[in-house]
Amino acid sequence: MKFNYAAPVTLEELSELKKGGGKLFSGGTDLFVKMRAGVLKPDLVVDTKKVETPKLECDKGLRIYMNTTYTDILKSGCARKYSLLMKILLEVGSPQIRNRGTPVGNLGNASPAGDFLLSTYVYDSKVIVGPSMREVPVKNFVKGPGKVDLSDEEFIYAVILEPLEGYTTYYEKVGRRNSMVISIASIAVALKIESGVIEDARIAYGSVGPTVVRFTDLEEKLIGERPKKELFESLAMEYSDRVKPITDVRASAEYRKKLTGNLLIKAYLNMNL
Amino acid sequence: MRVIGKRVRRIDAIEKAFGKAKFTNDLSFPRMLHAAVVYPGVAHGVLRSLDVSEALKAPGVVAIATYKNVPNNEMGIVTKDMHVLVPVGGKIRFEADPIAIIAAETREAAEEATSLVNFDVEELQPVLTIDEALRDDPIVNGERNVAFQRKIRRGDIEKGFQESDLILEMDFETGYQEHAYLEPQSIIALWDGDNLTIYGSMQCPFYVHNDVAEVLKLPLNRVTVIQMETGGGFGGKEDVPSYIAVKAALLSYLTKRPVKLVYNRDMDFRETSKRHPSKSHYKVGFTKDGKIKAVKAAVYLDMGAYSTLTPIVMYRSLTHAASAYDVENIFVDVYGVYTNKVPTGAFRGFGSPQVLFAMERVMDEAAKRLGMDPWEIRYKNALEIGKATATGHVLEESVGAKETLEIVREISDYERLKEEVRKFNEGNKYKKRGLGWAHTIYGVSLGAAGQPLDASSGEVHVKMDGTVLVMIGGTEMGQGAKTVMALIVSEILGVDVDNVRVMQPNTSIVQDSGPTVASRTTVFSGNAIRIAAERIRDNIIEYLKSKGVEDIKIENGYWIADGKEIPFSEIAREANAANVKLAEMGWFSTPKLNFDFETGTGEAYVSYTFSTQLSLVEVDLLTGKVELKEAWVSHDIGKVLNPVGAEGQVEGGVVQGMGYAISEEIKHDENGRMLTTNFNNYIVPTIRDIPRVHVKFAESPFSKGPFGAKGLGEPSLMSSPPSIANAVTDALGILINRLPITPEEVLLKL
Ligand SMILES: Cc1cc2nc3c(=O)[nH]c(=O)nc-3n(C[C@H](O)[C@H](O)[C@H](O)COP(=O)(O)OP(=O)(O)OC[C@H]3O[C@@H](n4cnc5c(N)ncnc54)[C@H](O)[C@@H]3O)c2cc1C
Repeated sequence: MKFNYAAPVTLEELSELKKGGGKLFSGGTDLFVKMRAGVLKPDLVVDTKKVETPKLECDKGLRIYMNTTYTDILKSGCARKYSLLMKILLEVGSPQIRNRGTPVGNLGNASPAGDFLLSTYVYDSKVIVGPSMREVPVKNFVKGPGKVDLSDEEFIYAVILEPLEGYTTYYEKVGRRNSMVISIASIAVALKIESGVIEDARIAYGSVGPTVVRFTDLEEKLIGERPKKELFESLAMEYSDRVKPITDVRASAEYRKKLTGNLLIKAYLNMNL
Repeated sequence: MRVIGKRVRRIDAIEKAFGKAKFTNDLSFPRMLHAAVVYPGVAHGVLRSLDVSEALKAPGVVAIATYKNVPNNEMGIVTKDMHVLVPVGGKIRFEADPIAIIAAETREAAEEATSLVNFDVEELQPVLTIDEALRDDPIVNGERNVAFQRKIRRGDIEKGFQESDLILEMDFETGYQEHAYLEPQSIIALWDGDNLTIYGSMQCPFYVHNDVAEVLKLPLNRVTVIQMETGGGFGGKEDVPSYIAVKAALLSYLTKRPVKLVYNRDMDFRETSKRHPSKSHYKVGFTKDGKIKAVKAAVYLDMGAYSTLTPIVMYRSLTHAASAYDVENIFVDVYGVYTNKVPTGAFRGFGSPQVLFAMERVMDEAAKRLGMDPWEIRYKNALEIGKATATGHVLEESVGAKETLEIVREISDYERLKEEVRKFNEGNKYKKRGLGWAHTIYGVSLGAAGQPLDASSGEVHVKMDGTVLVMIGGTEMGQGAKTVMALIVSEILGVDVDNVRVMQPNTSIVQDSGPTVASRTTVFSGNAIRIAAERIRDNIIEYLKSKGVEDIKIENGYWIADGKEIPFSEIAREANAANVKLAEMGWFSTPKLNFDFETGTGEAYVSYTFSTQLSLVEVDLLTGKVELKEAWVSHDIGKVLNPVGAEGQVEGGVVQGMGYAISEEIKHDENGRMLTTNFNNYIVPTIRDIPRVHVKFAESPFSKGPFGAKGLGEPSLMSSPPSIANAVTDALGILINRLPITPEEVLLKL
């Protein structure tokens, strides 16, 4: 395998190189896996790590810039209040992968199994696209497995997560082992409950469709209701029916459908509402 | 005893922890070439043409070998049913059946050139399952797909069923298991025109020695095989390194340059052996009070495209088919079946985990139907001195079977545990716990079917400064063999463990000692070393006596001669100066076993290890995921020589058995190409999956073992899968008769 390597130091250079067909990478924990497997064969890889960018900003939402690693976030004090995010990040790969891999890379990879990607759907995140610095809601940004809304010269500069204050959250990823695993299905839930009534509900699933899924019409069924088990059970059935997962080497579509509903019940049981 | 049975640090711990130990890939030689292998990527077909001319022109490529270059292209351990390289006109029998090998200046150049080898294959329908193979259409290899059979015919099976009050018939299936050793297959070969030297990662240097000499038609005294530090084997480096070594050796032979061949994980998954998938049917008869009257079993092992070790693996499936029980009427058939998939072979347990799983599931079902506790039914049927194994081997010593059952019952506080599990299940709707027993047997060493290989050599040299060099034919592959050898020498000679160095095996120094398999190294290499060390000790004692010393004792690292302490270094210096023989060779073999292969009866093995495991599992009813939370284990291994090493074996065995039982699975596409060729989708347990393991040994000494010891390497795995399956069945009330127990299967069955 032979290919060229470039390490630009400015965003302009980075954009130029990408326009010329270069494949960006930060941690490389997705890109090089694909290249080794022969799925991608770029002539040029562009290392983004030499471009100086901020790491994290916590004042107006949580801004995670390119090249910021999972470990950077887990170690920073200011991101701690994003507790659902923290739970999710701790489940990504292993310490080595978290030291190397980046949330922006996870977004760029746009796998429906991406764990960080799942969190962005619950935090109603926006993607800042360079060089223009236009902002796009994540649900419009991700177009399908591995497909994102970027033109040739564009790149992801940062992602902004809106805070979830006063929410109860749940996250679970199902795989055949407890770490270093690509999810068979995953769920992230955030509920806001005021005086015993659900005010806001966000329910996102990974690995049960071409990208992360949220069904806002189903979420709305919870709003204004008391969090009762029967309510979640019937909603679980609707989610199970609605998702269209695939069968792959990890699991069958049938199992994933059943898991989809069951994970919502698990979320309900574990949130102790 | 001074070191035997004491907690000591393994002698190779520091060098391994600091990365100083030398593995094959750490070695490099001037002018060394790198090799790559060309695979057809088709599971079944006829190779119609092969053209390497374009690949030969690629930059960096030095040589390409095809079938035309192999001096002796026929290979196979029991039958010569495979080629080193598939010839044109010959059959391709699995996707990674090698057709050419390339040597180039760099690994990248060699790998790149593989895609430039042109070939045509006339494809045939691939045979992918045991059931398809039984139809014999098409034939994969030889004359019939069911190519081998072994049997036991003992007692009167029909009478046994007539005398039974309960007759159970059950079907079982088990899947593949990949060894998942840390270090993939690696070999370096150096041919200088006269002599061939091989360095490699391997369990059995003498196999490599014989196979390479045979393929290149070289005399054995011109071939030297040196085992490098080996990053795990588990059976996967028993015969397989021979297939890797002949490739590197052939390229070195053709180029007269050193050649390195290091597999990547994908090649290792596709081409090298696995545990045999199996299907079996059991019919077992019991009396009302739980006594087994008859065991009838038919077991099919999927051996893949080539038979390799299967006929010998089948011997173990056969002899272990009735697990660890006293049964008089036995009728067992084991079949080896060809399919168009990767050849299966040796894997920790060697054909026994499949049948032990089946028989142990039957025991639990019987207990349930008879209203007995699963512990009780096992205890009732357990072996004792004077009773006979499945093959009718009457046991005369070293039978701690019942003791292991008693120990586990006690250390788990079984009655209290049952109550806790009952309470947990009452209080939890979506999580259920279960307890599962397994009681298993393991024949130590190769047994009657492998006795021609069952002898070992060992040399001990005491240097003038009192340090000791030990040379054995058995290999260290991470299991701790070197440490056990050092302990034995240290105990006998009164020398510090730190002053004993155990060398890497070298076939030009040590006589053929057989393979490092079958949990035999402690017994065989250990005894050889014991004999050699005792001889040196006696030589020294004789010398001291000749000097007039009357009372000689060896205590705490000091020799005490007539009440005066003398450090071993001083003794060595003095004895050396007096021309005392301080180098000895030990040779160990066991008396001929009497076994009748026609009826499958007689003395199957020299001795047996007995094991009991109780597993506590928790099943998530919403995801189907099974978690092994805790395991209590006891093995009768005769004598615990090295407690730290022995406990480590048990913990590792429980976890590897757990992987086999609940998470590891090889999948193929409909054309027979493997889909799970890396650790992202072949799921071995991680540190976050492992249970708490409680270990307590039973020690019922074996008179022919060093200090009474028997083997542990393999039995440590076998109790795990059936006890987990029994625990899941206990938790859910659904029958678990298939491994692996995937979350998917559990959830869809609920
Ligand atoms: C052993 C292992 C375990 C793993 N476990 C998990 C896990 O548990 N959960 C999980 O979600 N993932 C996991 N992954 C996948 C991977 O680590 C993550 O997706 C990680 O976030 C990728 O980050 P990276 O910086 O390494 O990405 P890279 O490989 O550098 O890039 C990923 C993709 O994004 C593109 N890209 C990179 N930077 C930009 C940019 N600035 N703008 C636009 N596109 C860009 C790249 O071109 C590429 O297509 C695992 C990977 C490995 C090897």
